[in-house]
Amino acid sequence: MSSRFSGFLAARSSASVLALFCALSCGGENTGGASASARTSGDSGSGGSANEAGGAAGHQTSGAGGALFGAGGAPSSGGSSDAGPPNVDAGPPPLVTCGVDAGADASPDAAVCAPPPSRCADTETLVYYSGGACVDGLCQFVTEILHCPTGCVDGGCHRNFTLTR
Amino acid sequence: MSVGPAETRRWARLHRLLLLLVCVGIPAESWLGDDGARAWTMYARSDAFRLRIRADDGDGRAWWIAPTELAARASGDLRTVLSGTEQFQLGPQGRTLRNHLGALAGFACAAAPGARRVSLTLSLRAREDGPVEDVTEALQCGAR
Repeated sequence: MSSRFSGFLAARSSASVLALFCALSCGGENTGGASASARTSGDSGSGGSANEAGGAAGHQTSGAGGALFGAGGAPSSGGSSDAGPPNVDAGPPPLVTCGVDAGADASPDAAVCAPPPSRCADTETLVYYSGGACVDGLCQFVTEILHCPTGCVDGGCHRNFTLTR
Repeated sequence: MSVGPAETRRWARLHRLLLLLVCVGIPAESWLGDDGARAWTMYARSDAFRLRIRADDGDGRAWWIAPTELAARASGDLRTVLSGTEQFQLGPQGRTLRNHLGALAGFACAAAPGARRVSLTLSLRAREDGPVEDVTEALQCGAR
């Protein structure tokens, strides 16, 4: 019985690894998943200076998918929208200083605003930040949402230990 | 219908050959020839891994692409593996990503219209307090 179970596990794992290889080398189709975005900068705790510096621009929605792996496609923040507005409170992006106002402690990458860590807004919603731009010494980001059907854990979608399609 | 001793020996020999092929031959070939995926490495270790993607337009403008942005364009395992890798994530998939950084760079090019070049840096860390191993792959977009 145990040898049969081991065999099953081995076969399943091999198939799963091959599935990831295929996704990487053949292309992975976006199967959807609601996403949405809003360009904001700074932190609400900063007394509004972030918005004054960069401004919370209009809310925009992103495409819900369609781009094939390696096949090109519009940026997610500019795609056509067939996903509704986010159903969760994504909150403000982290406050990141940049450019000449960032001071001597700023990392070199701050000049182009590296994306801050993503975070789980709830058990199935991942909030991440894209489109970093340095405006008046503060990084502006587009706040975007990715739905994680497998669950959101530690700032990422839950990964199975073995890979599945 | 009974099976004779000669037939039994033939089957036993075939089973031994298959055993050697599956347990030794294929893993050895995979271990020596590629990333060891067929050498039962999927349970061997987990690393923390992080991905940084930088694009530039060739005219001095550079920008970052969030790995989760790529995840949003992918599906299946690739989607979950890439999500959240702005920061270190723990899992055995980091090694697999390392072996396919080139393909991932092509994907990043597609996700970054206007980019002339993308550079991916995958950081792997075996232990929380251990050294970080950086693997970088750069690709001229449209050069493939």
